[in-house]
Amino acid sequence: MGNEDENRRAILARRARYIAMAVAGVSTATSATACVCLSPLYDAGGDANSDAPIPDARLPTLPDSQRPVWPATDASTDAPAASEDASAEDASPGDADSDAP
Amino acid sequence: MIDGRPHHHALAVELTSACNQKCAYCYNAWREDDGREVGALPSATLITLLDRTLRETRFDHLTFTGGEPFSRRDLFDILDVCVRHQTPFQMISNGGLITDAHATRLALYKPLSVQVTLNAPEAVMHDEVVGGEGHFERTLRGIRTLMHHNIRVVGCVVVTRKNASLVGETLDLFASLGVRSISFSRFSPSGYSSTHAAALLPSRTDILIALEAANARAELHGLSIQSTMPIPPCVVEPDDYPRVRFGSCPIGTSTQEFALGPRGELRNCTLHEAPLGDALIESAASILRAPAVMHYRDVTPEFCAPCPHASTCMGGCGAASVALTGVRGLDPFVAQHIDPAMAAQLAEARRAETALVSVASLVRR
Repeated sequence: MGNEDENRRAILARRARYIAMAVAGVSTATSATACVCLSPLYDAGGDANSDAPIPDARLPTLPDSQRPVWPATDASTDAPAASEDASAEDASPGDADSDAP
Repeated sequence: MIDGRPHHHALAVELTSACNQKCAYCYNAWREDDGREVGALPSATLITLLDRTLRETRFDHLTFTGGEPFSRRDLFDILDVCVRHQTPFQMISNGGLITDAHATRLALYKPLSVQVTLNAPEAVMHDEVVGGEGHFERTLRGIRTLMHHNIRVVGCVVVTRKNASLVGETLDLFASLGVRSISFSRFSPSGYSSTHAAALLPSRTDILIALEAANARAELHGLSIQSTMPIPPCVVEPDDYPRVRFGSCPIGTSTQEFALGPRGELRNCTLHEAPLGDALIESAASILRAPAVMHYRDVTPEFCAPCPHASTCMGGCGAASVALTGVRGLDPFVAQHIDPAMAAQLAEARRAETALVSVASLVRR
């Protein structure tokens, strides 16, 4: 209950401070900007803290010769089959043991 | 308008309702029956729909999600649509179905990233919240496989009442796997997860603990951490966590990510259940100009009305409010602390171990 009271007081105090600042004409900007929820942050300019560069936004063109055969997946056993989900004819013939392009 | 097409930031494509996990925090409304009722669009229908959508509308990127996107056997035929339209994409996956063959082929498509979630640094707690034994190890294997093929992995932690104190150790695990970009996703109830709101909704105190750990691990491991659910500034002082980037709801702004559901319905985001229109029978470009998009930001929760941050903060996640109360109002993450009625409901649900929202009341789309 102690935390509950403290949380309520903290929120109301911060809100009151923002309102008072607005009334006084003081800027109250925060660093938060509109940002997609739940998805990774899309940053075409790169991520300074990431160990891997964000790939070039231009996608490769994949000539048919470079397309790997369809890799078999265990989805049919692990995932509940949605009635209209990718049916057998949607998938190319696959080779479960092949991971070569 | 760019090259004659209207331009939007992002579209999350829910490829299927099927998933090999059943996460208590899943925002899909169809998770209760494992997606059986909703299903997914047949391959040819989905490919035609995506092709038409990308011809009509330019998106900075697509986000393929689900359900579990790797449970679709025609996944790469769908990714070919992105190649044809030169539209970058990223994926959200639990990693558990990803084989070396998948990763080998996926690497050729140069995805921006694949986001994979770990909710704890060890199997028991992770498996408990995602619905069964063995998922933790499968997810670790998936992350390692993607990393082995130089596919950028973004780690995600869904911060709940149960795991908030373990966020630091979970980030240690991500760092040990070589993952450097993190989505800090505080739990927000919607869809299926609204039935678990009492058990999972973190308090302000929980989030402060988790943010403290996240900020320290960002410094320690050189992590890039983005809070991917809105945390209103009346709850947390963002400047106290300088290594964490904070965001606010993007609906109605230039950074909105729309959602295309597994039956072809377009929505304001993945969390909102209400359809804007049916993209199978209407132009996506025109649906995305619907009044529910253009006037979304006209609604301000009463509590927020006098606050100067109201226009950007919007009172947090409107979808969570709709999920728990039926109307767009204050985010339950805030309301639990300032609305005595919400606090009492939560306390009672926790005492009696019942749900705030019943499974039966979930909207069947």
